Amino acid sequence: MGTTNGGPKAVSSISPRRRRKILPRCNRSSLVVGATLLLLPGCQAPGTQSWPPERPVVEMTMRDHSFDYAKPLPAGQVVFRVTNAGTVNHRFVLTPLPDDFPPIDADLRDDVQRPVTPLAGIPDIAPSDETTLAVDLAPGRYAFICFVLADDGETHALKGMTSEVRVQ
Amino acid sequence: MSHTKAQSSTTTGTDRRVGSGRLALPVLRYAITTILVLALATGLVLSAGLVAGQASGPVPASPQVRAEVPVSTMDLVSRTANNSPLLVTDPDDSRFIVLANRMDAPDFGCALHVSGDGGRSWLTVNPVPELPPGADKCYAPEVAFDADGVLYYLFVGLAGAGNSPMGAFLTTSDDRGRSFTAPRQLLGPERYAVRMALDPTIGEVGRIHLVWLQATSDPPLGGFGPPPNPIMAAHSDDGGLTFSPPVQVSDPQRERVVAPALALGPDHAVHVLYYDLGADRVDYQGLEGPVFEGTWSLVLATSPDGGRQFQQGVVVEPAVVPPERVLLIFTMPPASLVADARNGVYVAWHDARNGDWDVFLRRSADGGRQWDEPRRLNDDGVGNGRHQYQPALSVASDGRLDAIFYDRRADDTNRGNDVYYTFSTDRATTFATNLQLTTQGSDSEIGPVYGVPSALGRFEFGSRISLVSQSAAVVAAWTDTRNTSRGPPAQDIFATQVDLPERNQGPAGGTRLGGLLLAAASLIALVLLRYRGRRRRQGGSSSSTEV
Repeated sequence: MGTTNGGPKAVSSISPRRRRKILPRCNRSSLVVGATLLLLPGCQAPGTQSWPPERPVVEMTMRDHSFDYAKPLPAGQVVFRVTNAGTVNHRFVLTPLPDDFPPIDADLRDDVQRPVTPLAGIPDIAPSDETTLAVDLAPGRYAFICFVLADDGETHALKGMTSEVRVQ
Repeated sequence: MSHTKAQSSTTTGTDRRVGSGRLALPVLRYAITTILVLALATGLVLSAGLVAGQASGPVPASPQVRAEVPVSTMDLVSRTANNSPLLVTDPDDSRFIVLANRMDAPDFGCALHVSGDGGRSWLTVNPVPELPPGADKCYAPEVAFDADGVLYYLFVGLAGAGNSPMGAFLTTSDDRGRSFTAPRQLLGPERYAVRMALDPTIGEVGRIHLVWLQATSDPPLGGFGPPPNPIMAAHSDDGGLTFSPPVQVSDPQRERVVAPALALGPDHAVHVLYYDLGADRVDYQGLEGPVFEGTWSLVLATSPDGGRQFQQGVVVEPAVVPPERVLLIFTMPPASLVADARNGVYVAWHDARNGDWDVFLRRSADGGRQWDEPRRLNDDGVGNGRHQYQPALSVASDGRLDAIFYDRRADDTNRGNDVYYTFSTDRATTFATNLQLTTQGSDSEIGPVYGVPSALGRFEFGSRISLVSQSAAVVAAWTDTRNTSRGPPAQDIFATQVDLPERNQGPAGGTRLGGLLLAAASLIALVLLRYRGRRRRQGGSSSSTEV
């Protein structure tokens, strides 16, 4: 509402163009209020929206004979969604490797393998099937290994189905 | 002033007001417009289902089971066995759910996981970073929320080589599990099967109810000493700082009472369900021997006065045919007990009256005094040699009764566990066709073993599964060994959500319709208001100055 020369302006003296600007301002205020209300349900108390954080999900595809997934892996609690896109059953063990451990491929082909203790794993899953698991990963070096025995008597691991990854 | 006089000569009768009166109509129009916009916004919010607790996305025509998700993290290095989950929902925000579970390997322990999205993803937190003095391990947790959304986590402290319970402790979190208070001792030693429930309607912080089995002598290996070892209860109205004197729940003449379950009813009623093993001394004392050839009974004790005194027990089920030897009497799975807001009480258990194990339910419409005949919840063939067991019940706010149970109908060896779900919308008169929740079964013979006579050659798979009921969904959790082969006794907790069809969503569907009507009416009124305003301005009214 403007004033000129100390007094309120009569409507009749307000130009039609200015009148259209005045009216929408009222409605715009109301709409702002309404829009704020629309957004209110999506708002939460401060500090709660980010908690608890979702565990990162790693999509892993097992093929004949490889593991496909994004590297490196994040440290902490992680969910793996594993799909078998191969033509035969696959499985894996996820094993922490000490830093002085030789490359897993080399170790598996050696005459004597160094002992390792798996942290997690999945049993055989058939082609097209999938499974999921959650693991708490400490930073370090790990390997996925598939020990399924193929028809020719060689394990999938020796056919190349291993994957080293660093968790950081 | 001349301006005002000039205006008066050309205005309608409504506007023959001078000074501040000229602003009354514009202000009124502004207020009405604002109210209508608020109503429109509210209607849109409601119709879009943005009220917390409603299912997102399209409403399914039939129950839709989401993919299972792992709750606990797998650990084959320590061979962790997570079992016996318990789910609880924050009353202030149904999207926030917590799951407490027991750990039975590599040693006894307790765990907690939280979800902020209705159970679709989970985070493991540590509620007991430091054990209280004298406790070597935590065990058998219980969880509850008070009216302010404070999380209560109760656990039993175990001590010594014999894992004797040296006390029950409470820790709380007011930040959704990010941090916890130092544990405070609530109960003394030799309390077994401690259960907790919280009535948020009493006092400022609600009333904590505790129920437990009190051993009156140091139990021998694997079993209780000579009776009496009664079931007791106490309550606190100050967040656990002080408790009422304990009162006995179990009938004095019943000597071998075990495995209490606790549920709160309307008007501050407290219901405690327990097994009476009757003449079954072998299971009670954990001795060697065959399955008891007699029957047990299920007894309900009710306190109508908020836990001050309990009435004489009512026999709910007089003929529970023992399905097998009790693995470990201290952690015997309780029957499932829930109460609805209309004084209905429901009990579910499993027994072997049909040869194999079946899940049964009884209902009471009068707060637990009289009980209907039992009905079988699993709908596979009677006596087909496939077990169903360890049911869990839950009641939604609209009275829908939900149930889950372990089910082996798909396994010829009668060893692989799936989880099945059913529900009733008519207070347990009829139940829906059983629905399979798991896509992969679990080998029930993967888990810890105990070196006590009652448990020889058998595997611990936990003493409960759990579910929570929401208006448009159910969240269920169970013990799962899908990722474990024979060898390490590692067990995980898995969970899933079931989205329910609109007819089972009760008030949520009506809320959406009401919101739509409100939004439509508000929009029409706004349009009419603007139209009338425009017509009035065309007629020379001065009331259009709404700034």
